Amino acid sequence: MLSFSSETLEDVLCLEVTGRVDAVTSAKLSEAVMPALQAGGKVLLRCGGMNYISSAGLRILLVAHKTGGARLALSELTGMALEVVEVSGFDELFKLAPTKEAGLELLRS
Amino acid sequence: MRLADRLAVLYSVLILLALLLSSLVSAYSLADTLGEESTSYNQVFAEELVGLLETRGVIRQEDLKKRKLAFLHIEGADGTRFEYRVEGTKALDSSVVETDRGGYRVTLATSDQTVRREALEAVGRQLLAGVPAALILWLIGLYGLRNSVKPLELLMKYTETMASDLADEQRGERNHELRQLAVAPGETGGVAKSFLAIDSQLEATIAQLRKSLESQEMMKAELRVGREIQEGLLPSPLDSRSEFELASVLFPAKEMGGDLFHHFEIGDKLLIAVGDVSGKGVSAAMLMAVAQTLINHCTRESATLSEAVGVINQRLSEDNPLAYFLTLFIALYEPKTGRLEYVNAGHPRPLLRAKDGRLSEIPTTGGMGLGVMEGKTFKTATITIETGESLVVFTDGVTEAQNSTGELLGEGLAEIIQGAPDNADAMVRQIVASVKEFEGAAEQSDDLTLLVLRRC
Repeated sequence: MLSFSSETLEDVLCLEVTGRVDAVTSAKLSEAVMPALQAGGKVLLRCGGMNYISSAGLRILLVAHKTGGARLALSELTGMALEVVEVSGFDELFKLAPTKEAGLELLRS
Repeated sequence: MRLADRLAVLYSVLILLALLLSSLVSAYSLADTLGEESTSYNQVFAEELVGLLETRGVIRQEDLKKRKLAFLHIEGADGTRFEYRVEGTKALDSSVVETDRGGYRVTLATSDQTVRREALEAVGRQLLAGVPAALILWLIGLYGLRNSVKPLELLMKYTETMASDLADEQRGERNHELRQLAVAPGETGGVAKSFLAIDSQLEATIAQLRKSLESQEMMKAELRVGREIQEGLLPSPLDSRSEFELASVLFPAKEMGGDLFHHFEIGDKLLIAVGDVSGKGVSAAMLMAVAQTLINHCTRESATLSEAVGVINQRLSEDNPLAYFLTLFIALYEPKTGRLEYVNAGHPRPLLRAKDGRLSEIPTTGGMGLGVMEGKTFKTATITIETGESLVVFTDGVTEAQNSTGELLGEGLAEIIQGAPDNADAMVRQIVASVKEFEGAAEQSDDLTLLVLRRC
């Protein structure tokens, strides 16, 4: 299962992702992230509670990246999710930060 | 037995019981009345007898006839006694009369049996007159019963066969009967109307179901063909060589999948590849076919491995708005020297099993998944596979195999490989069996691909 809690800090939509992002739930991730990016907003995905991400989930992150570019950042990636991002080489692509504050900082610059 | 028959039998038994019961009741009450009547009658009779004795001095046999006596006892003041008793009868207690008159003491009683017999005879006569009337009443009741049960029977028969003979041609006829019933006023008509409504709904639903089932079957057949085509895109096993063993396997999680493996010879070298398109199912399968074709083509046309991967990435990245991507491990192997040049484009790092069973991840080349970013270049790395060493290349469907509690296999793979037999084919079989065992009853969550290259 996948759930989100969101807050808006200045001009950034902070989305805390909890659970598994797989072929079934990745559509929910897309619905949560895409509207803000399409509207030109900034999004920080807080991934501390994301315990699994499949390649279908990665694809959603890629689409989000294609849409938002530098307006998307990921923070607090850990465990298996961090490993998947690193193995696929996407750590090169995304703005990654170890903490929420660092993530917000990345989006400000 | 049909409902109408059952009801008819029940009805007849009830009528019969009612008739019997009423007869018994009237016989008993009649016997009581007769008993009471006989007391006053006996009183008069006793006086009559005294009268006869006084005037005539004797009582004759015929004076006692038709008197229904159980016994008669006369005692004169002079000590004379007269006694009359009918053998085998009992006195009706209520009818015992004692009279003391004119020097005679008369005691007499009416026969119990006689009174009862008379009562029964009277009731019998009454019954005889009543039976034809009861019969007519019974027949009328039966007719009414049958008529009122008939629609119910029709509805019953209808419900029994409603679901089973939707395709039956006689259905129309029965529905016609039901439509006639539906115009009837009252509950029966109402029920028939609801039945007709249910029926047409049922018919529509079943037709819809059948249609969707057909299209589902068609879709399944299409997917089977798709799977066959996809299997056809995978290479056939190589003829056995003295220098190396190569074994590979691919299990899609659904009918079609996004995993791939490839191997073919280019000159005196062997090309091997294992890849994984993001997602699974038909969408991933289509990109898998493209990727397989690109691998075939680009590796033969390019001067170097890194150039080939660069071209594949370029082709996949161009015009890819949905961001489907491919992680790929691709390598050129020299059987003579054991030299392996490879590019790892975002793929899980393959494992090398040493002769003594020790496992190590081979160094990564730091490449990104293919189809993500145009114009990227890819570095190669080189290792040497020593005699007796095995390279195990796999997709995340292996490490992310899940058991029914949602745990991932993860590091468990290393243990499985360490315990596997030292032969490429046997090792692949063993790893697959162990992964399936780990999954248990859980559904396979992702495509699973495995390739083992062992230097002999």
